Amino acid sequence: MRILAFFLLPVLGLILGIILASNLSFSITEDISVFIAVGLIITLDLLVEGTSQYLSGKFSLRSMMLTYFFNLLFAYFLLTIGHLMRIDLYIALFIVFGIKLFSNLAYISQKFFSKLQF
Amino acid sequence: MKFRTFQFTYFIFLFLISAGLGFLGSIYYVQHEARFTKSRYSTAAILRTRALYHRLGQAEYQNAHLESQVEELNLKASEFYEDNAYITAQHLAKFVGVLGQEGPGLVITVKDSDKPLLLGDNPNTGIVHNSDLVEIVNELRVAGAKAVSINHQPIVNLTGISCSGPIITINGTRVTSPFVIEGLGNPNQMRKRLDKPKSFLKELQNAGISVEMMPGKVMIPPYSQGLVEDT
Repeated sequence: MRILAFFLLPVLGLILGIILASNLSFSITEDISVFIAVGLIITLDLLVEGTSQYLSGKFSLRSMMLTYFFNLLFAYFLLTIGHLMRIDLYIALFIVFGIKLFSNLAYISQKFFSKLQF
Repeated sequence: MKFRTFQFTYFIFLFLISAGLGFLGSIYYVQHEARFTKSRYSTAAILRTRALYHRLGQAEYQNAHLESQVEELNLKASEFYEDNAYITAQHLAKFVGVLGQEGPGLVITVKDSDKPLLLGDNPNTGIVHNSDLVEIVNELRVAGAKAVSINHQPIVNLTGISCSGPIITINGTRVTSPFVIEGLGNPNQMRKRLDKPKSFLKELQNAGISVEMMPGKVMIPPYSQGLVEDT
């Protein structure tokens, strides 16, 4: 049951998100496409981080929400500054969140495969 | 594989985060579709094309719907036109003069005399009067005209031809010389009758009024005045 939820819920959420995005029909200019890309990588990072925290047994939705909110806020602040200064600061964001993502992924894979007997 | 503790909030988190991922990812995909599909057109052009295509499809759908409606209405109209009552009504309308008619007929042009007046001449003799027109219409009808018009004014049962000074009023419209009198019917038959030596037109010609008769295609306009519906 838990395994089923673990695999089914993300798929359902993805479908819901795609339906929402296709129904709300945004008109997005080219300028803010970087914002969406950064939002995507922050969301992906949060997913992996939450999973690793869940596996280590100290997951809390409240802290996750706060993390997400402030991450987004600060990232967008940096992006705006970069846009004003004409520096591609989003590369820095991608590097930071990419490193975080991979370290968390390494933790998750260790947790998953520690019980497996080769 | 076993999880340490079951946390319901984690599954809520999982659901919400994947919804956000789907949302942002699909927005990003739509925005950069050109890059994903390796199209040589920009995303704006693709979106515009898609919108136009959508509108075209809608218009085609509407068109098909309206065409089917047109077919239905045409069928109804053909049924209506084949109806006996409609044909009778058409005949009656033509008979009364409410409906215009076209066909072969006789065109008579009557003009006031061009001759200069001499001392002692009665000026009335060289002028076409309303009574003359009435006589001509009568003769035409006797000769077999199915419909008559004077200067494009149809002569129906309500028509009055009255004299008002130098001009003549027909159907409330003023007409002046030359008078073009059109009679619908067999032109040769009418001409035979009107060319008789004692006919009224001959008398007019003798009085100095120019009269011309020409067979040709005539058009009697429909009578449109004085059709009061609620009397």
